Amino acid sequence: MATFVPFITRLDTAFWSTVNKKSFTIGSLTNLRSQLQHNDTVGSECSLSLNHESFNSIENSKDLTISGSLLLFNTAEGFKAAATAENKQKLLEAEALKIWNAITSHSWLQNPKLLSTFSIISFADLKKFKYYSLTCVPAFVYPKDIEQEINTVSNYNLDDASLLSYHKKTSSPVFLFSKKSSTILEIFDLKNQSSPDDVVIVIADPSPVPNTAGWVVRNVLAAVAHLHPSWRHCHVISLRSSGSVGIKFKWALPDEQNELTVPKAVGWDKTPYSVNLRDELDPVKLMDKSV
Amino acid sequence: SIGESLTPVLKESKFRETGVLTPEEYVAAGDHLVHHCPTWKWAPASDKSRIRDFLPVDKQFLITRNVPCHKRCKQMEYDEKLEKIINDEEGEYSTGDETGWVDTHHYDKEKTEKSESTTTVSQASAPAAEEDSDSDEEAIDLDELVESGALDEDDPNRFVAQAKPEGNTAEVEKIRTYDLHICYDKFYQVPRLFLMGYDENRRPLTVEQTYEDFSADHSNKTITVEAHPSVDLTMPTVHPCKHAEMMKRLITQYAESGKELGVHEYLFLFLKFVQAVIPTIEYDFTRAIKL
Repeated sequence: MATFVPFITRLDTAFWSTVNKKSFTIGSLTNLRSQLQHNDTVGSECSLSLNHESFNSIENSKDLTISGSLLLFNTAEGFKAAATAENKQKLLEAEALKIWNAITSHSWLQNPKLLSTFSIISFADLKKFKYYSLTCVPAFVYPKDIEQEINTVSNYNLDDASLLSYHKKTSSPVFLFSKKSSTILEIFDLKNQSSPDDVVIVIADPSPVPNTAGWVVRNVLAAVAHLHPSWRHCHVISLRSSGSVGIKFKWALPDEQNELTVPKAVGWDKTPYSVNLRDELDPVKLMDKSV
Repeated sequence: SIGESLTPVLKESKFRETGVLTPEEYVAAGDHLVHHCPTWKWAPASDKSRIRDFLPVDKQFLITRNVPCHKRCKQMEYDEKLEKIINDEEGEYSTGDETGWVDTHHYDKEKTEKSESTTTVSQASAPAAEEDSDSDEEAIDLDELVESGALDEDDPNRFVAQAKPEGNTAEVEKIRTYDLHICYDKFYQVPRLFLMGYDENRRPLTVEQTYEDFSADHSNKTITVEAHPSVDLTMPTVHPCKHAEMMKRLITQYAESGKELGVHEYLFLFLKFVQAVIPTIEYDFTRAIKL
């Protein structure tokens, strides 16, 4: 069974400092953006790093980013209510539906960033400088029975460095490499492919784990399986600046799957995150320190 | 700071003579660093009031995030033979000499880097600080929250890190991470390093914990906690009062080995010197200059 490295949310002190200062409308969504690092080497999770820059909605086209939203509460009750199993499921399904729509409408072929989003629910206890949060990065459990086979990148007869430089230049999170013509193609061309063995799907991957692809690859596989229902495998390059990995994914399709049913999605953090930032943010404490 | 606001912006280039840098030179050196080490990025100020007008709005300071730090300084094999005091004056090994800068791993970096981490020591110092003054009760019982929010998720494709088979610890490796910032210090007219550390649970390190990652030679006399010029936070910083002098010496030393340092390479040399202060923080120094 192929597995995918989940995200871990890293909310830095400057992020919460911004939360403290901006007056957010409680219970409404704030848009966020996180830069993904495809050179991450820390631990066994993909980092979803949020900081003071994440509130800046202006997209810098040069960066590989993932966008999402923050649902902020100012009471413990509000947060607890949002974090019940039932409400988490609702939020997950709503976000998964948006992604599924991008898949079925093929709009993801124009803008593959639509496949990756995240949602954070959070409680900021501004008086005590305590913060709680829980992140969801939706991923489809579709197709099913995904298996993987590792290939060395050289097997595909392609040049890692040129893929990386193309990615850096265009900031495309997903694109194609044609094995036939040995050229890089936009992901839009996947539509015109008839055989899964003619192309390699290149995915900028923040996974730090050798031979295991990151979470972002899951929805790409779902999209590929939906676009070409006859395919039972595809070739992927998990593009990393620390050395890319070639993976052949094989799968089965569920027995009953039609356009109208959205496949099951997963993606909530298993445990909530909490942090006490009194020492870092409380003006009284800071006064003490500076004397 | 007041000192900074009264200091005029340095206009004339004189880095080779004195080791100081103009803001333009800082930006040029920063561009070069970002280009060659993609883990480094330019960052804007956290809000408009903090924009320093002698720097471009989108290039207020340099940052690299989630840099791993596997072990504490005292866990490193310490070997005097690796040490070189970068000080061309006679008084060698005069530890009282404030101007001497000890490059603790001058001669053989690879060896120390590869040395097996001894994980047992790190755990002793970790918790303690948590529950001192904050006796007020938690707004949220996290255990309860986990229970009420538990989704019956069946996700066969989620990667779960395996405990390391070898070694004495059954734990999955948990490591500290650092965000490193290089700001421009207008008063001292040099780059200045700020660091924000996080423990294995992604919570900010206390200043005392951070000291464990500074080499003993530097932690007392050169590290202070100060306000960051571009972000609304205080954090540990390597005090820049000796930077210019140090940089001048390094530049001279570099010149003696027959090479002339271009101003755009200034930050590589700066990072080389920073490495002596934080030897266990594994930022990207692939391009660091060999003296």
